[in-house]
Amino acid sequence: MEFLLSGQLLVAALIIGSIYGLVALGLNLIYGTMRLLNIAHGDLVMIGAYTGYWLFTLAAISPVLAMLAAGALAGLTGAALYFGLFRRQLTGSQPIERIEANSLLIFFGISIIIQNLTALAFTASPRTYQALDTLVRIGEVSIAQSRLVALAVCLGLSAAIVLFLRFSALGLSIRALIQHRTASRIVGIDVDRVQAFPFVLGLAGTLIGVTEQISPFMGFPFTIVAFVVIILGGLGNLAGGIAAGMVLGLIETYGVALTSANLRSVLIYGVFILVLILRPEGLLQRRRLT
Amino acid sequence: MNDGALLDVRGLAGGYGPVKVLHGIDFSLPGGRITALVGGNGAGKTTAMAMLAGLLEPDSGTIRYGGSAVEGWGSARRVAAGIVLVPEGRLVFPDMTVEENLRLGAINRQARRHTADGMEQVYAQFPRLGERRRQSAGTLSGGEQQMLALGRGLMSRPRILLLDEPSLGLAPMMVDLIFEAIGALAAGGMTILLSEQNVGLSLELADRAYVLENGAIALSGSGRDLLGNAEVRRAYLGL
Repeated sequence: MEFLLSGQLLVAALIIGSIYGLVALGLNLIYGTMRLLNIAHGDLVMIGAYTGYWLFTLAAISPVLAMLAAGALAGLTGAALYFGLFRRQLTGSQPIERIEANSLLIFFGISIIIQNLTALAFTASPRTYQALDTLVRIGEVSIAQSRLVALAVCLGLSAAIVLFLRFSALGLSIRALIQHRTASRIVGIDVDRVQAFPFVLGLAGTLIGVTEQISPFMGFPFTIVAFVVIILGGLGNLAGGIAAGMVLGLIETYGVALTSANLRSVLIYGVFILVLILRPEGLLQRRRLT
Repeated sequence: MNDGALLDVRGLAGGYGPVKVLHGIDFSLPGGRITALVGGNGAGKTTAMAMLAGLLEPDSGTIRYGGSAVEGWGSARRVAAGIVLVPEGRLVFPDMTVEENLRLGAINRQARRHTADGMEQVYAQFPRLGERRRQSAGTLSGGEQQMLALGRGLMSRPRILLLDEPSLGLAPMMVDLIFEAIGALAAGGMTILLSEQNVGLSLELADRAYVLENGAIALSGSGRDLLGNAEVRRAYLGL
């Protein structure tokens, strides 16, 4: 049981937790502001992973730079989906429930298309690459540079986004949009201006790509995790989602260490179902009186 | 178009999908005056307000504001141009503080520079909001929330204020306070469209009024004339 106390395991849990937190933050923002159930969420992460892979393999560009390009690519994909498919629906007078249901089906289709186009272009076989793989020693723990970068960028970016939302005028409009859609339209908030979120997904994707295997179908587990995390943290509760990502990372890492890697999905879905039964408004959400 | 009208509505019709609420209504708002839109529950007042604010697309009809046709404008553009709604049920942001709610009123680019001034004016008009500026809006009383909704509307620096049922669900003392504020705004030259179920009170305040019944204008005239109208007295004032 001694390995449970090792710093190595803790760092691994923190890394995976910080990635979950960032990916879920993206979903929380997209769902919160637009009420779109983005099932293709993880596929944007996958696009980011491939961008990092090809830029490094073909041009020897470091993942640290590649993640900006990947972010831009995911951002553009997100914007194309928004302006091509959803904008008309969101600005029209359709009831929001119908948009939610439609978006679920549309994104499901988009997800399948993106995955299979990627498989067609790059084959379905998993890939890995070695970048930033020097080991860094911190005390007793030694970790690959890439994983350290992933941890730092995910935590830093999450914190930066939360601070931005807290203190800037655009952040105030985004929080308003999450809280009350109609009231936001009444005060004149322009929904078109809040389209930059998919950027963080591409970025996260590159970071994941350096630390894990890349394949066209790698995105779906991240979609599921993102949904579990925002249910844990409470829909629309951004800081809560980041904390919940950490919690899930810890549960997964220590759970797998205690049992077996085969039980990873059981752990994640188990947490999901337990929270839905015991506290459906989210672990970290304040209970509403209304 | 009527002379001196700041906003002119012709043949406004539509509703929610297959449910047609308005069947072609005409009215106009003269600048610097209070115009009232009165009628019972379900007459179409809130629908008309939503169409003016750009929240709901009409099936047909024209809305002219100043010199331009605004039918195709989204709500953000209308707010920036000065058409501002204070909605029925207030719709404040419940988990934000009073101050954040007011800042959101001034979120459009034209108004944002005047955030600090605007806030001072709102707190001067409603000192109670000033005392509660750090409190979240969801914890305010109904009357305080109505003050906040009105203050948020004013933060947008409106040229036309659309007030939808400002007295709904308020204690009589609060109603007086809100209507006093509305009167003061009008005296300061604001153009106001007031939609109300409280027919007596709004006819007293309005320069001109339209009675809306089943999605059509049944009667119109000066507020004073309608107050004396036998039909209005019987149907809405219970006299």
